Amino acid sequence: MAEGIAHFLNPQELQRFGRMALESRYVVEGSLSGRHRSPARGASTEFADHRAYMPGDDPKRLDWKVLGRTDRYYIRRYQDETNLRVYLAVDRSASMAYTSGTLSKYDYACRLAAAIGYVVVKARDSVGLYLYSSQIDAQTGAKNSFSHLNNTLRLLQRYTPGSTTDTASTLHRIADSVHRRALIVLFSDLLDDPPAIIKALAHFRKEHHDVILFHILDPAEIDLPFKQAAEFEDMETGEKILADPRALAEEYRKAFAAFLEEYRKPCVEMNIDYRLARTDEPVDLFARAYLEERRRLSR
Amino acid sequence: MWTFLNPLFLWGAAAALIPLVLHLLRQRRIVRMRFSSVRLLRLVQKKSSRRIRMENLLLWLLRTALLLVLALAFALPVWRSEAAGRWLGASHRDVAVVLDASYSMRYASGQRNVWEEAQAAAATVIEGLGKGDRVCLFLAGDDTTPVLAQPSGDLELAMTAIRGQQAGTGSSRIRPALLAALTALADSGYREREVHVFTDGQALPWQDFLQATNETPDRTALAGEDITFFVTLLGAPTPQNTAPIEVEMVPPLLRAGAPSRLLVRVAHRGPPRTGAVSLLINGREVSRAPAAFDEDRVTEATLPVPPLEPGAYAAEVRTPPDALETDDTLYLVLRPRARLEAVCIGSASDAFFLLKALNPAEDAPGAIQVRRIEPGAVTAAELRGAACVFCCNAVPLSGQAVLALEDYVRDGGVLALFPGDRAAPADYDMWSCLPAKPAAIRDVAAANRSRTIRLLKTDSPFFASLRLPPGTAPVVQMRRAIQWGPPAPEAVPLLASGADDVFLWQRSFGRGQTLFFGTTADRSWGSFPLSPMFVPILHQIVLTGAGLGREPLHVVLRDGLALRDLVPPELAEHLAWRGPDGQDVAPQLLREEDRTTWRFDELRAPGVYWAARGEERAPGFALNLDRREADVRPVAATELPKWTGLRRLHVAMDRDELLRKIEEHRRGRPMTEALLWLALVLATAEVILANRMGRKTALLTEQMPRLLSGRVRSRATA
Repeated sequence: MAEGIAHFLNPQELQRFGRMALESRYVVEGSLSGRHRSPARGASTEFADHRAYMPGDDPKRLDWKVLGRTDRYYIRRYQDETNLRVYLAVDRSASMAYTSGTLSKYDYACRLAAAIGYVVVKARDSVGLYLYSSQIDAQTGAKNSFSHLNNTLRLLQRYTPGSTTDTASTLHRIADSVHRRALIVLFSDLLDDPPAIIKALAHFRKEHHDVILFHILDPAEIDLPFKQAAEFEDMETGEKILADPRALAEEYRKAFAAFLEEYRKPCVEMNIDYRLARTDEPVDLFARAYLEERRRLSR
Repeated sequence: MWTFLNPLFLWGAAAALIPLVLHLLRQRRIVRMRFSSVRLLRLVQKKSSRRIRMENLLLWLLRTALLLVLALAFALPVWRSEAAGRWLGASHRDVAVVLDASYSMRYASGQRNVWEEAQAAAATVIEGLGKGDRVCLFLAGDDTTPVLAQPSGDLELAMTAIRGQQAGTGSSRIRPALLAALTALADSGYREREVHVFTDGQALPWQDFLQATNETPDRTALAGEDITFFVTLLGAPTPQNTAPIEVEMVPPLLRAGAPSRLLVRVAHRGPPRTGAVSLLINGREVSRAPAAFDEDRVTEATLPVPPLEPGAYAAEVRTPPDALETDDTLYLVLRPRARLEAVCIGSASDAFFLLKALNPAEDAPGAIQVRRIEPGAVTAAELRGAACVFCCNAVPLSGQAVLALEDYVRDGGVLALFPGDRAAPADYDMWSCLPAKPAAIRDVAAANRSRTIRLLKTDSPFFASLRLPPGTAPVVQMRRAIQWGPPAPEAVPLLASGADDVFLWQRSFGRGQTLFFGTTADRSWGSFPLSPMFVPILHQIVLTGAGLGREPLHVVLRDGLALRDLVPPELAEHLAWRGPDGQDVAPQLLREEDRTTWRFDELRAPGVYWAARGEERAPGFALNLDRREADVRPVAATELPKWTGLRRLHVAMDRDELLRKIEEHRRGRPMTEALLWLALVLATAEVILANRMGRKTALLTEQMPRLLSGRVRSRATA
């Protein structure tokens, strides 16, 4: 049985993702020189601003033209470019195990995370992982090697969903643990308390992280297409209710639309990239469409 | 009460349990499913559970009811009324037949008229009775005629009695006839009781029920009886009729040698039509007026009356023929008068101005002939035939004279009183026909003597055509005036002098009128005799009095017609009379208190009645049908139960429907068809509700604007 990245992505998919990149929409703080804008001023070709010359500054950075015109000493400063650090935060609560077809939400999240991670590492950016349920179950630091990505994906492969969830507090902890500006990619069904989760997302934004939220849902969760009355058992709490889905479908869809809107609207306001991912859609198709759109919008 | 012709199918009612059983079975087969968003499901179920429960309950009830109704329908149920159920097949019945005998039953409807249809329908009902059943028969006219007052087991006799009846010439009232029928059926014991009414559907005979709404005892007596009523409305659904209902001479007095007009009011029921109204005198048409008869309206037509010689003429007003020919002719007797005779009671000096005013050229032909008599010579014979009687300072009069004068007024005369100095206010106390009595007579202050005469009642027939000489001012000088006591209830002030003093009172008394002036007929109290109004007012009184109080142009057929109310005094005691058909009719002598009168009690045929002297004859009076019956407006069958308040009322529109309803009443009504209709309604409701509950609503995925890249746009921007 294949492990690591080969478990999640086949060679054709890897080839397709090889030409793609995940752009950050904000400045990020990296340790290496790269394609992403850095908050630090440094050596590059892109002019940033002037500042007065201070003793100790390298005289070669003096702006001679300004000195010639004004007899004043100014230093030219340039936009520093650095690499991107991407943290994949994957929800492994019990509800992520739900599937009405062949692929569970957790499997879908893992495959999507693998695709994103591969694109990131391929672009010489760093990738790290947070696997969480009611707590952070596993984590890896951000590194830009394929072996690291492979190890990270093995970790994902090793875990299965099956715990209760406390998304909000876990996200707060993740936000506290990421000290430098980074791109946080969140994979979750968000079946938890929406206001609390929104607060946690706001916490990321407060720390100047760029956030991508993949809201992963099964089509049956969205449409409640069942025909027969059944006893529904909650996958996390074990709560049971007897219901006739045909009678409830219309009201349920309204409620679910409102539930989605509870996330979508604040995300738009906080400039979080909110995406709804359905498990009945091919992962590579979805990921490529997403990456292409993001690249287009980042220009 | 229900009976079932196929009761085995009642076991099918157990099928009503099928929906419940299916529901329970379904409960046992419920599957368990692990689901992620149960939290939302619970939220929605909490909100919708009441609605869902109601819908499910309703659906269950509908399905159960549908199966029950189907089972009942296949069991062939028959509904019988309580009475029919109790005594079905075991009891004899008493039947009261009420035939509407008004003349509107002569309405021609196809081959036969409505009356013949009613006779045939009534005969059919009696033929359908069995041995031991009994029948009574009533005719509903203006009064109820009991033909068979008590239920009789001789059905042949009842059939013969029905065939022997004829439609009447009057109107009809159903309610008294029904009460009479109820009285006849009151002692039926435990027999079934039915009342059958055969009428033409005219609304008029049922009006009594509306008027009796507040008469609780009678209404309860009618509605509370355990009797079944069958009403058969045999007339045309939209009857049409045109009939002259009223005539009026213009001016009221027909004078010999002078042309005049006859104003005819024609009632029309039905869609608009045109036609001509014609006037025949002595059988010859003398005038004709085209007329357009509007829908359900009264139209007026004016017919010129040519100058006629003095005498009496039989006349007819005819409208175009229609389905009800009985009321197309209105019979009249015209009496042009050559001279008008007025009587003046008073001394020569008191009556001087009045005599000169009424007949200035003394005995000129065509003028008013005034005869003066002294106050002490007043008798009934002296007053007979006078168009008007004037009293000029004639009071006080003897008691006999006052009685003669009051009889004269009561019989249609006009009495005009001028006061004078001979009488004190107390001298008027014995009069009972005066509009007001003087309370005092007083002198008028010099400053107030000049008075303007004002007309208070412009539509009074006395002054309707009054014309004063041009350039004259209606001003009189009053030296003395009457202070009036309380007027009689019927008194009407016609003229006023000055601000508010009544100058002329009028009062209707019997068939005549009494007028009382506020000044004398000579110059002793004022200048009225010299005023320009004096002559025209007196002439107007005589002319109007002669027209108003005379014999009527025609009267309506009824019992108790007093001869003196119909004909001129010279014919009032004539005993040889012939009817329109040439048959002799004789008045009866009736003694009323101190008077004897001749009257007719049995006249039934409309037309002109003639006074016969040997071979000679002269028109006496004209009798006509009650014109209210000409209004053939139909009653709505659906309104009859509401109007009558009868609980067990069956209304049929023809004989076949009547027989069917009798059959249903006596043998029960199959309810299968009704139940199948009900099942159809229930099934439709079930389908609608089930579809509504199971309808496909759009998936959220289809409604949500989402790109392949996962971007979800808000619905507003989408």
